[in-house]
Amino acid sequence: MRYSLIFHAPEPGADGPAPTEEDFQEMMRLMDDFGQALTSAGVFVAWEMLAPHSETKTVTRRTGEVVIEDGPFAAAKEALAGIVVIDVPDIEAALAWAEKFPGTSYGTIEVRPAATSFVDGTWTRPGDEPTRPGDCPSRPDGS
Amino acid sequence: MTESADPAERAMILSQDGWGRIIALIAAADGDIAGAEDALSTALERAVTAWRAHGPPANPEGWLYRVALNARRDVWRSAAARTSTPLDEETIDRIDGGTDPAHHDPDALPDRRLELLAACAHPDIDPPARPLLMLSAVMGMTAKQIAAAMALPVATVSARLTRAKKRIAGLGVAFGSPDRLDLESRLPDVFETIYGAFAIEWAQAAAQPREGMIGEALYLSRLVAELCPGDGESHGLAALIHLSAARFPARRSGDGRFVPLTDQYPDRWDGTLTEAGERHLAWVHRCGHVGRFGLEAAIQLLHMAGIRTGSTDWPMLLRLHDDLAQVAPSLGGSVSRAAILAEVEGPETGLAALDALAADSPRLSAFQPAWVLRAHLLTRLGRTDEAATARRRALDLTTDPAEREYLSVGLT
Repeated sequence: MRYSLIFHAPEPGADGPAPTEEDFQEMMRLMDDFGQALTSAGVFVAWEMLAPHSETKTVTRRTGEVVIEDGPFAAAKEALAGIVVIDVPDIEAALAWAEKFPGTSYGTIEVRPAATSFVDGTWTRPGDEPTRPGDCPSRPDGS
Repeated sequence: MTESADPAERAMILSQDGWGRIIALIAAADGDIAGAEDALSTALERAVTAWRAHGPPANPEGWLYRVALNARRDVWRSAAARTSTPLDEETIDRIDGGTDPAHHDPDALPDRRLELLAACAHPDIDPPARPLLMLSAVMGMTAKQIAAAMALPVATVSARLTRAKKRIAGLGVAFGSPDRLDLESRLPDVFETIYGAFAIEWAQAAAQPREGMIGEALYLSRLVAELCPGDGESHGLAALIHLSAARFPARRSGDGRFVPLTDQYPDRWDGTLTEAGERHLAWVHRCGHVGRFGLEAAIQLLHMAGIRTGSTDWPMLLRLHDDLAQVAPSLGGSVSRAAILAEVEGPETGLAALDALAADSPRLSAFQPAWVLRAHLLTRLGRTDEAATARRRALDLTTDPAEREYLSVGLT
């Protein structure tokens, strides 16, 4: 089952003291530890940390023609800053990983299950995924 | 760290023990920890130049205290001049009174560190900020050092510290002359904060276990046991932290593998820390009051003795766990008790206890240690398939790479 850990954090230059170069290095190291742990656990799918809003373009055809604009420049203090996609059996395991995400010390993580994912050229629903050999569908305590 | 040959530098290093005492004494007057820290920084800055030029004074702490106090007085005077608050002169007298500047022996100065610790653990301070405040105020650590120890961004630590110190100053939590009873009622919060700083589960899933704040927590626990020697729980806390820290080097094998307690080699435990833990535990009994920390320390010591001698006193451990469940019930404690029960009465009984817990607490299904124990008990009962399922579940909930590797051995 795929879960997205959706990370929201203050935009650079938002209120509060700006992080120093050293702060960046320290956070990079923590993020790297997290990525290595996800990889060694075999649950890693993808991870993108996003550039700030100022480097964002939006594309829409809502009005009938293609409109490409800078932004969005939402007034919100926090913005989408990154997405980590992991493949774990259930929400409890997803939350165990989300708790370890280093960025939670300065932002928030939203944990959301995938409804359907486009994998290897085809749409995959959570139920379609092959279960691991020996995996028992019900838990020993019956829950 | 190399021994410094520069006498001024040596004196500075030796004076560090006194920093918390100086901050406590100055901040006790008006509850302004940030102000007291600034005063100490000023004194330290001046010391660097003065001690280099003229050699270190006979009593570096006394020197620092006098200069810091003067710096603080200047601030109070100018504040008094601006606001014409009469209180400030009183404040100055309060901490000036009775100390003769001629011999500033820090041991002769009143020790306000327990009051300072209590202020750091004040109910109006956010619990996560409490240990940060203790490290900063009582141990003189900078935001950068604390951030490194706690694996937090420096900006986060600075912001939390500033907010907490403002809070204390704003509350008017002057802790110079507290009611003794009031102080005693605050001790549990002080103990909890120190233990929390020690037992903090690292926010990140690091490849290597971090030392974190073990050294600092050891120091704070010794300090609090020294400041309230008649309190059983202060020794219980010190015993627990020393015994846990003693085993730290044995948690990973030479090649970085996870080693559970029962497989650890006692000769890799730190003998000095173990002895200190045992000494504090003896004090718990002498104080006649055994609380949560004292019980947990006793449990750890019994486990360690069992591993060392090859024979564990399980019935005694069960009694201690029963007492602990009375004093401080917790999910972790209940799961440990089920493990002990399995040793005393057999794996079926342990499993039944675990099932009963699962019925009571929905959180158990996300609690990794419960699945590790379930897997262990099912294996002992020969229920191999169910054991593998439980172990897989434990593995799903484990993020630490070394522990994952340990759990996945033998799973396909």
